[in-house]
Amino acid sequence: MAKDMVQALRDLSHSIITTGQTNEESLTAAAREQAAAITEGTRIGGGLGTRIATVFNILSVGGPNGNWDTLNGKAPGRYDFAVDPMDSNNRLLTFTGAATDNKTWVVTSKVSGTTLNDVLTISTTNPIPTFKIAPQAGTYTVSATGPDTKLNWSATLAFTLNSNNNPVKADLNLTGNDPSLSTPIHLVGSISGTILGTQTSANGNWPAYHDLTMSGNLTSQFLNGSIGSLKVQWVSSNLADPLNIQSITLSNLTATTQFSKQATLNIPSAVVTFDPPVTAHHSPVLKSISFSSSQTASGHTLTFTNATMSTVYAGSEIFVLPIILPKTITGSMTYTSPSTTLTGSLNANWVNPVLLNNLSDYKKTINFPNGSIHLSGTLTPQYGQKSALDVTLTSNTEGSQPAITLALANLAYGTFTLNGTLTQPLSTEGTTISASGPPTATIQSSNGLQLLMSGTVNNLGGGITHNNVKLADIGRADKLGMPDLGGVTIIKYNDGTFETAISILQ
Amino acid sequence: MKRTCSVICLTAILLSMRAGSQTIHLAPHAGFSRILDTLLSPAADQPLTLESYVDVRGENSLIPLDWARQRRLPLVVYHGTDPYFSDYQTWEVALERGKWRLSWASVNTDLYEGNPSGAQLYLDAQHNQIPTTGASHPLVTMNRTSYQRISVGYETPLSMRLGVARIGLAGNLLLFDRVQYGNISGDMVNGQFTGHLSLLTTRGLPNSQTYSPGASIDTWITVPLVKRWNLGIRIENLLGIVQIRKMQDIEADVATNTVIPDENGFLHGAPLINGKVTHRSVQANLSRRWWAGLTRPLGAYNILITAQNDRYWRGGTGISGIIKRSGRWWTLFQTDPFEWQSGMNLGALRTQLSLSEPNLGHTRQAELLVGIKVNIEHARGQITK
Repeated sequence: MAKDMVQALRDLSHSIITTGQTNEESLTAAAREQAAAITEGTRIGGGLGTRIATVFNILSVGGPNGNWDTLNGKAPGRYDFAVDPMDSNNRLLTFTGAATDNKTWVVTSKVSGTTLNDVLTISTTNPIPTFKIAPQAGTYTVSATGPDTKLNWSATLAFTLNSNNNPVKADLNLTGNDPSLSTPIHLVGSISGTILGTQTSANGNWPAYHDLTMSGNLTSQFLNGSIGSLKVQWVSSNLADPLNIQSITLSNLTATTQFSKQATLNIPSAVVTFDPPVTAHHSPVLKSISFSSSQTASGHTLTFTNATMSTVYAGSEIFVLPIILPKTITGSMTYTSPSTTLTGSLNANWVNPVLLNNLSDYKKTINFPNGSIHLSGTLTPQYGQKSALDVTLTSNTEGSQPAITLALANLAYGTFTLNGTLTQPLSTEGTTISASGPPTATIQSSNGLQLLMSGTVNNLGGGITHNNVKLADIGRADKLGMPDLGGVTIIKYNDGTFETAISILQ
Repeated sequence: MKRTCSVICLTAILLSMRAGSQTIHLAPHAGFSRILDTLLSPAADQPLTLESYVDVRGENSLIPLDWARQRRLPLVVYHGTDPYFSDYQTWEVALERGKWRLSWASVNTDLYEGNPSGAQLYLDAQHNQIPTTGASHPLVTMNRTSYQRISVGYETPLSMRLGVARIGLAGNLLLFDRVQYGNISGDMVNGQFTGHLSLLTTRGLPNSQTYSPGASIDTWITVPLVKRWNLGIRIENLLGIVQIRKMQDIEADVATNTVIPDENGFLHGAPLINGKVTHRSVQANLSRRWWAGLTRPLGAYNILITAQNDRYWRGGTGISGIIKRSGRWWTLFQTDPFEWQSGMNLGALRTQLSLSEPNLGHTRQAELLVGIKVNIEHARGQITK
């Protein structure tokens, strides 16, 4: 009977599986597998990165690279793109001839290596005097071709304007064929918004948006994904108020890596809400996150349903970035590994949230975590027996008996249930908190067994009793008459059998 | 002829009695200087003398002894076939007079043996890097003792046609306060070990329950041969037995990072070690040790040819000489494994040093014996005068 109890604790400690790995080891292996697949899958040669970066730099998208010359502000025409003879790190755009119309720019690369003789052509539907990304230009059509016929990139960026000539929608359609890619990249997306009004600044008039909504699809040899809707909504109802974010709403996000080992992420819905900033100098404060999500990689799936995290404002750094800390987390979760399924609800409360770097100085009473985590559900191993699981970890640093307590409630395993607590008493001296004596574990089974353990992992003492009759001793082997096994902790039963306890202490 | 046959048959029966039971490993009962005395010194009654020495030896087939001090060994690949580690520490005090010798000794011995896979597992563990692929079948045995030995010996000359032979017999009473005897074997597959541990041990039990008597007989003979050759043979523990009153008999399964099925087919986490302890008395034999030597004068020296068996046979050749009439020096080269031994008896001093290599940092075998031998009768006579 006592051995059944120890076996149950061992099985639950291991979350037993077929290969002998614990879930922690299995997760580590999965992470390694994914890292290896990503490393292998992104090992792309042939200068793909250089070609893309060069196009982005010429278009001045994302800002120019150092002193590289860009098309920004240059009249339509033909240009050569070449290395600056005065500084090999720089690139120059040299005008070589007029364009056939007043809305086309043709750039020919003279840079040897991966971009030699590639031709970048940009045209707009409406004539503009100099190149810039402006809605008034209508639709931008960009193509990149080269001597290698496999190089063929094309993209269109089309703006939809309202009656006031302000853009209310932008559509992007990109197809990329490249010698370095086995599968073309295809990106289709749009961003649309509701205009609140027009703001005037030194640079001109700019539309102010009440909300912006983005959606799109991506297929590639690296990643396939789609966003149903990502909506950012601002608080302001009139232009006099600061444009502060009120909420971000995400729906139907899916992403699947296309490496040798796939990983998927699904977020059916997520809502992030913000509180107004504390002062005009601050940014809005993240208030809560509600989401449902599912992520799968290398046989491990973690799903949250109707999860909500509330936060608390904890000041700001350099008066700009608000610092928010998690206060409560609630929701339903399911975790599936090759060996185990854990289904249940999670309820966590952090009474005194502090910054992560303050936790390193956890011995200060002000930093020591005070709160609880409650996990209730069912643990189903692939082999073995299903167990009900109800675990509460409480850290109470206040009151007359401060302690960290891990409570097991009605942990069902086979024909019996286990209840118990693992307690580490704490003591406070001034502003410092520390362990007060060794931890103590007490576990009772529904069939009348009681397990008592006290001490550190390397110096445990205790026993298992049934109706006050001792069935087993728990302690260091050398203190239980078996010094040949050294200082390892063992459970020695009355019938002379014994086993090491390390597997249930890990 | 009939008498000769009887002696041979009796010897064969005595030797066969040892088969099929545990054998406890013991340290030698005599240092090489005493064996050499028996072979080279003329038979004569001893005055009352007091002898005391300390003999410390360590040897192994894996790594230089000095490396044992390192916390982490470099990567070592074992290429041998019979790995072992052995050591002993002996402190003996003896009184001799006439043909008699009475001695007391305190001894600790350790002997670990195994197969090459067991040796490689040990080396990998000491290197902190167990291979996670491949399969092997490690086996390691342990044989450790701590005991006191009280011996009474008698040696007498025997006139023969070619000269005077010497024959001796000693009875040993051994009092064991610790005996550990066991083995662990199993399968190592992809970094996971599954095996079985068998261990008989007195550790963990009160001394009052484990203090165990043993007894053994040593015998030796030196015989003059033709052309001034001398033959010496010494057998320690020709008969030897110990009755260990109470031992813990530990039988356990060992499994690292694995699972086991129950009767319903459910897989469960296996403990690292689980087994059963029972108690029983154990009768065991004592390890026998043979030594044989041939000597012959060569000018002012004596040439030495030796063979000895302590688990395995080793041969040796060397030379011995006289220092200041009563003293002696010798040097001996033993083979397989090679070991150089040198020592001297000068006045009351007894010393002996053995190394497998002159560089102490590389040697795998080392032995140091330091002692004194004092003629008490002579000293007492001088005080009386």
